[in-house]
Amino acid sequence: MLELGLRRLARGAATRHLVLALGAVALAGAGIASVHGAEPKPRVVATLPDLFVLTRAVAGDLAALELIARFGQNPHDMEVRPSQILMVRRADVVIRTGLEEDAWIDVMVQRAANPKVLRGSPNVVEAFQGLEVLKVMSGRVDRSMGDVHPLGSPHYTLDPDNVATVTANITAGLTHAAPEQARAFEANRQAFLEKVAEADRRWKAALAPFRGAGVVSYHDSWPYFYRAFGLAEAGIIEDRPGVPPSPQHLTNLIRTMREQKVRVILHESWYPRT
Amino acid sequence: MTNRVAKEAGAKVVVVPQSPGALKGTEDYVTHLDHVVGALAAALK
Repeated sequence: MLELGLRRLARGAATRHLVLALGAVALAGAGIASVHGAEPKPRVVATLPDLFVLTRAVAGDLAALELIARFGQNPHDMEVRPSQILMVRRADVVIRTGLEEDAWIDVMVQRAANPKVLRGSPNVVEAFQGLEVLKVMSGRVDRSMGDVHPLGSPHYTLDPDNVATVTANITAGLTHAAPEQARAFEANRQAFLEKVAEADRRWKAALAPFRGAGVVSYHDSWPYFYRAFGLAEAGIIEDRPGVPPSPQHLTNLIRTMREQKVRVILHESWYPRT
Repeated sequence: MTNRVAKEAGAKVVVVPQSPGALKGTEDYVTHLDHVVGALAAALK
């Protein structure tokens, strides 16, 4: 009973702190606009690091940009925190994958009660739009299949050829929030695309000798990367995302790797190797 | 698990950042793919 009472008390205190913090943020936002007189920078929230770095390249210092999933954090392991709800509450623009790897953003938007960034609003950028989506699932999908992405693989930024479309989507969202910066956003985007094109020539030259080589990965992260660089997916250790593979699956995978002479396993740094 | 599969299959394990910033020095788009491509090309040689 005492423990239950303490928990209720703690929850009440946490709620009061959150309400106070939200109020402070609202006042701070109002202050930025009134003190300077000029249009304030749009507050932009990107859900994942790849979208964050692409948005940063377009926005430069013309937006106040924040990231929800930290660098190095597995987006499948996200827990919604009050600080993230605050980010979303004060956001003018939300950049999301559109393919559900960051589906937790819907919970944050709901709790933040910020109608500006409800899904479907022009302030919400679904960054995949206009791309060819790989690995779209068909048939019945349920939780026994692990953390699957029924709408298709969300790892599309790993193909440099997709960057022009993704940054165009981001630019449209930023421009909707700050139309007076439209030319600057587009100039930043063009400069960035030139850098990526130059780097892409280097990347394609480095991997050209291995065209057609089979590669295995721990997580199913690389279909767009393989397509971009002419590599072949020879297997995936984690056959159901987020679920330990069965001994039978591993036996079959090892046999396939021997038969096909697969020489490399890509292991994503946030998963344990043993 | 990855180490065990690699050992039994005779393959190398290449640890890569799945997204920018997952490893030090990969905090933007170009440095991230520089790292992935460089590590993979070296392992495939």
